Amino acid sequence: MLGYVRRIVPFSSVDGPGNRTAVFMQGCNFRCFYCHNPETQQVGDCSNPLEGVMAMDHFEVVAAVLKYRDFTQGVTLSGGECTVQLDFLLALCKDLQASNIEVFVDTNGHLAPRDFRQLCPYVDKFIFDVKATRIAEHTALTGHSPELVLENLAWAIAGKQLYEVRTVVVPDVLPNRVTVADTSRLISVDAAIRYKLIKFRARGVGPRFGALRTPDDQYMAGLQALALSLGVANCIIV
Amino acid sequence: MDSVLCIVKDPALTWQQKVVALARAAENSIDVLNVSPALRELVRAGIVCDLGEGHAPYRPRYVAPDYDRFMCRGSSFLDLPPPESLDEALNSLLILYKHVPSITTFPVYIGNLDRLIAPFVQDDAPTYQAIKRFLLHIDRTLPDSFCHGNLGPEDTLAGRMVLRAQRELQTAVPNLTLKVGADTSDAFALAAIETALVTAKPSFANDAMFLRDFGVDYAIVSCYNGLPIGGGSYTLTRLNLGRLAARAKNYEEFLASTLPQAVQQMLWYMDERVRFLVEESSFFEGSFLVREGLLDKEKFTAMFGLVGLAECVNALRGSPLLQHDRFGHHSGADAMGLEIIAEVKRLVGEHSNRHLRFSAGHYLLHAQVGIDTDSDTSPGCRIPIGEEPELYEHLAQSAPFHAFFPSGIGDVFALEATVKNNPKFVLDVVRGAFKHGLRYFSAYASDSDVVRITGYLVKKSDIEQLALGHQVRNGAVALGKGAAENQGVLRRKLHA
Repeated sequence: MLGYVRRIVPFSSVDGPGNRTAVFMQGCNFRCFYCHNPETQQVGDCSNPLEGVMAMDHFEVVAAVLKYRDFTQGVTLSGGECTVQLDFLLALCKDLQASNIEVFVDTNGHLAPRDFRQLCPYVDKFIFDVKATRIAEHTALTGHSPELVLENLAWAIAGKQLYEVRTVVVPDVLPNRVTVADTSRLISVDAAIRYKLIKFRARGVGPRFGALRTPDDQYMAGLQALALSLGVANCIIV
Repeated sequence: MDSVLCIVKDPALTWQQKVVALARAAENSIDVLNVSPALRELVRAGIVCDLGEGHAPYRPRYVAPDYDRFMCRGSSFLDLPPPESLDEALNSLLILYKHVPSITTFPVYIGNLDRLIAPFVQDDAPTYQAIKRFLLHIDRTLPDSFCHGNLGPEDTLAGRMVLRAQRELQTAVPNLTLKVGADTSDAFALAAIETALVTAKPSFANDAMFLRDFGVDYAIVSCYNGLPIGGGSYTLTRLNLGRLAARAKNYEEFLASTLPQAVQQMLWYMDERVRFLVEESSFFEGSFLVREGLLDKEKFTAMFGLVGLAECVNALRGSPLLQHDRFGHHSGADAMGLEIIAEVKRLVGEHSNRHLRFSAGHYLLHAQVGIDTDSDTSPGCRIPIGEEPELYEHLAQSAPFHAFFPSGIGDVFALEATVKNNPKFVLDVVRGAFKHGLRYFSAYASDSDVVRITGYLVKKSDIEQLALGHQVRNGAVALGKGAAENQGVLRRKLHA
């Protein structure tokens, strides 16, 4: 099964627990203005080869991951949005699982619940991006309603398959308190789930958004306190 | 005598630092070693260096007393019975430390701390406070970054308390190493990593590798030197491979004559230093540490040091300008490096000295970390700062060298502060690296005040104080300041 991979990072400390090989796949179904990897958004294929994108067979990716296995806890499949290449992702997850590699999938959760549930048996844990919980802001930011994201998130929580949720905090633009509160209520049922609040940073985003401000420590601490007050066991700020 | 007056008048030296410097000046005012003109020429050219050991060795460079024996038997010379309580144990150790000689005049090894105090440790606040005071006492009275304690490999309450106290104290002294082996629990190793990400220590020693080389009674001493407990190293002299390479027309000549001649000269010089120390200085006749069995000639060896392999290889390959052709990045360059080290091992292994009883008459190889004035020389077999590859490539490149250096080699990695959110990352890297033959691993976080210079620790804030001309307690800060200025050790590549 052929897929499109932007890059493979042998060692990553920020894509799940322990040291993980991170596989960044090409293509995304969202167009968030604050994306720090906009080069991974465009979907490539054989008829539309993109510079810097590797067309790889899934077993080549598995071989690359195995090279580092003595040094890692597992692999995290990320993107872009890795579920955009669902068949490739499924093939990869199945083979990694067969090789006894712990598989994490980092996703925006925007895919058909039927497809998501098809993926679940081959994934150890998910990392979800929750960008906003209200329809208006989520649609404005991503072009899509958050309905699928929240349904799949609930499924992952119920199946004890959620490792971490991430929210990028952008003052003045996004309803950060609402998003954090809604998300916290959802994930507080499982103390093992970590909530990571990420400060928006203007560096690397498009010129239209460079003027937006980075949230200060006090603002972030307020959101963290909110999450903790709603029962989240572990909330970190990065 | 100008230098003596300079020492006396130097406002940046503490009284204690002046006493040490004056003792060195006195030792260096005599010339008792029988040294060949060829060796003197190599020293003048900066190819061989005695690392400030002095002209008349009167104590082994590195001494690793058998503190376990001391805890069992006490000391008749010090009139101390075996300790029966935590207070007595800590007090006895602090007394003994002041009587342990070394090149720095401070002990370079203070014991496997957790093992020494474990019998007296209880899970209560007074115990913890006593351990914390003990470590503070060490930092304030043995102000030297080469003073080194060991922990592990077993997970103990005593070890946990030492780590917790270090996280809170954040002192540069003592240096610390955790022996990591099959007996080391992940939880204990993670506590050590969380400590290292706050205060740049402990480092991590590959217990399985050191066990193979030394047996169970090994110590990590000074920077990262593996040595037998109850003994130590008579001397450490180093060969600067980079400077030596400049004397060879090509690689063939380097292997055929330049290298073997220099190695031979240095071995004879080391023999002379060992001879004077063992046969003339009266150390082994006079020291109560020897008399009471805390030191034993049978457990001594000595260390043949190397620096500048990267510069050596690059010079012999015509000084390639592109990084991917240089040592650390090019497989041919790395293979040449391994071939050179294997040849040094062979040459050193052919030489015998009857005093090196622990190591069957042979010198042990040591990848020396450099000195403060080095500016064109990378430590041991390290990849030059500024040219470091990504972490995996770095470990894979470095590990094959580690097998050659039982008495010390290691790499230092600077990590992004965000790694504190995921200490397991470091544990995975350490376990993997050890599985692949890495001997010793050090890391610190980018926002840490205590940083690892080359093998020893210094506070960045102390370097700033010294740069302003202010006195600092720790004599090694001057070395760290030099290394920061000349080798850019505070500009290591950051990994996340």
